[in-house]
Amino acid sequence: MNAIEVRNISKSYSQFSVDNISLDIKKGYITGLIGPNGAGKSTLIKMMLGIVRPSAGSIRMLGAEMPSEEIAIKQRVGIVSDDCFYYEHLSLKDMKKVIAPFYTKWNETKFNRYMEQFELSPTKKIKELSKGMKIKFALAIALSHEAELLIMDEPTSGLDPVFRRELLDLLADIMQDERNTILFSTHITTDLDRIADYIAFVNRGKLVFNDVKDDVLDRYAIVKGGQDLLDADIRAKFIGLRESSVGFEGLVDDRKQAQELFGSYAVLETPSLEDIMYYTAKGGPIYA
Amino acid sequence: MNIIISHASEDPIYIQIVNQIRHSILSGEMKAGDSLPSIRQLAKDLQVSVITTKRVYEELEKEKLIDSVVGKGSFVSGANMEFIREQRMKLLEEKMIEVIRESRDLNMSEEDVINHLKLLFEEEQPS
Amino acid sequence: MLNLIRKDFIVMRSSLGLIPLYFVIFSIVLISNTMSAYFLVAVYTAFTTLMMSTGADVKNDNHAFLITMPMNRAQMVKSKYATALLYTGVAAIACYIFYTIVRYVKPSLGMPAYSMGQFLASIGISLVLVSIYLPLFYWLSKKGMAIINMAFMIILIGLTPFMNIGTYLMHKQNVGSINNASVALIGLGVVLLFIASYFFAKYLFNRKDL
Repeated sequence: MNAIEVRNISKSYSQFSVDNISLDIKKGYITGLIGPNGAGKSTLIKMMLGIVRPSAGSIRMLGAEMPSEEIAIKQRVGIVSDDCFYYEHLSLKDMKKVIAPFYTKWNETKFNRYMEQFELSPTKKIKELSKGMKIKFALAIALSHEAELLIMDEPTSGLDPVFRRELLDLLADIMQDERNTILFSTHITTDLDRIADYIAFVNRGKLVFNDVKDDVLDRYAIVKGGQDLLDADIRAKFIGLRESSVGFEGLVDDRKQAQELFGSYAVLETPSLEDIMYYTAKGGPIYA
Repeated sequence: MNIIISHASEDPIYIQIVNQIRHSILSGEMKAGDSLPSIRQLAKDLQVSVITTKRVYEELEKEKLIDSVVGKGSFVSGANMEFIREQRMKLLEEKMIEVIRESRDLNMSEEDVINHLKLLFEEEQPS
Repeated sequence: MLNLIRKDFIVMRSSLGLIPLYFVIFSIVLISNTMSAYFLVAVYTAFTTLMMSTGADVKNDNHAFLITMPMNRAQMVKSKYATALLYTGVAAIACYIFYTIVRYVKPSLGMPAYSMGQFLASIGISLVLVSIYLPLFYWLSKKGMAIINMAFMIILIGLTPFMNIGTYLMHKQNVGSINNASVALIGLGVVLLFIASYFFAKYLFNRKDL
């Protein structure tokens, strides 16, 4: 069962383009959407939400077609975004008064509980809030109308590490109910290293992979060794390679092959998502 | 049951978890019929992916150490009591062999060891 | 759609007080000249209110925010046209009432009665302006709107002398020269223009990236 189905989505801008991306976001799991800045993650999400119109392709969310059924779909979707376009001069209470009537399943009790939990005062004006508090407010709203799909676009970029950890716990709580799905787009991959179930990696407008996170981390490996181990053929096996006067460090996407190749002459480590993102973005052809 | 995982370890996370739960069951810390946390609860507690814990439970089911009932959860299997008992016997035997070796180093005879054991049996009355 | 209309009012709440102020200022400026087209106050007030509303939308990047909620673009456009109609109607009525009260209270000013023609004209001219303004609003970006708002302010300012000349010329000729048939025809034209404008704005907005 897929919460989101993207088929052959394309969009061209003058500076970059999203190029024929197809991917499925599985229902009941947390999918992390990673990629360097400007890779197309935000554009992809904006197309899912109907903010940007794709030049080609189709999107289905929660079993219905976007944008023809967008009203029904968005009743069941909660959105937390880095660009929080709230009305700056309104208070949180007034902002809620604007938003709540649109949702048929608005749960006032839940909302108040979250406001308390996040320590947000309803009379404060939006322009007085810090970035982190705005995100918390967006989260309180997103979680108060029985949404089954939570789409988060760079929600943690302005947040301190303490709240980021608390957020992950909160998300894990939400995922106790297997009818919920979370799509979490970020370039801070450490957030996803632990709790993400699936990872979709977008680089330069293309989809590099969309796979079970555990499998990705098992498949890739960081290889560290001495200069003398490299030659032209071996260099070609690396996705990205960083050489220095005291050795090399690189990423391969076939751990077993690397183990056979290097044996005990090199150190093999499990990469982090950040490693994979870094080395893929810096060098080598795109793994299609 | 405690599960401690190390992200720095060589072993993949799911192997670590499987090992620790297996040990917990075989050592008798968890008894037949005891319930295990749900897949999602375990994922949240350990702060790992739900797919990881799913695989853990699948592996344990394959080893017939646990049973999963749809809608109810997962439980330590009673069906494999024989196997579990065998495992525990093996562990005990290893300990016994160690006792024997150690006693030889200390120049104790077989009789000395058995007498000592009898004394200890009396002390170790079930409370 | 009601939610969207209500949202406009909540957002503009702090500036809503300005509207009666504008009304009074426009009235003072125009009522002193009995030959003038006083009914233009309705046009000015309605249109200024609309510009405040679209201005707030642009300043707050409203559209990008609204579209994340359960609504579609057609609804957003529809509600804006509905509020424009609301402003037009309320302004026209307020204008009539204010004028009539002043005429009653100060007969010494010798003001002629507020005619049906003037009332309809206040609505008609507002609707024509709105029909041109809103599709532009749904087509252009922030920068474009700044230019458009200036252009329309100039048009509004130019309306008064234009109407003055117009009504003067009308009085010089036969006052009753505009018969009911032509009024009905013009009215129909305005309504059709308004409706066509709505569909056009919907089309433009549907294709736009927010």
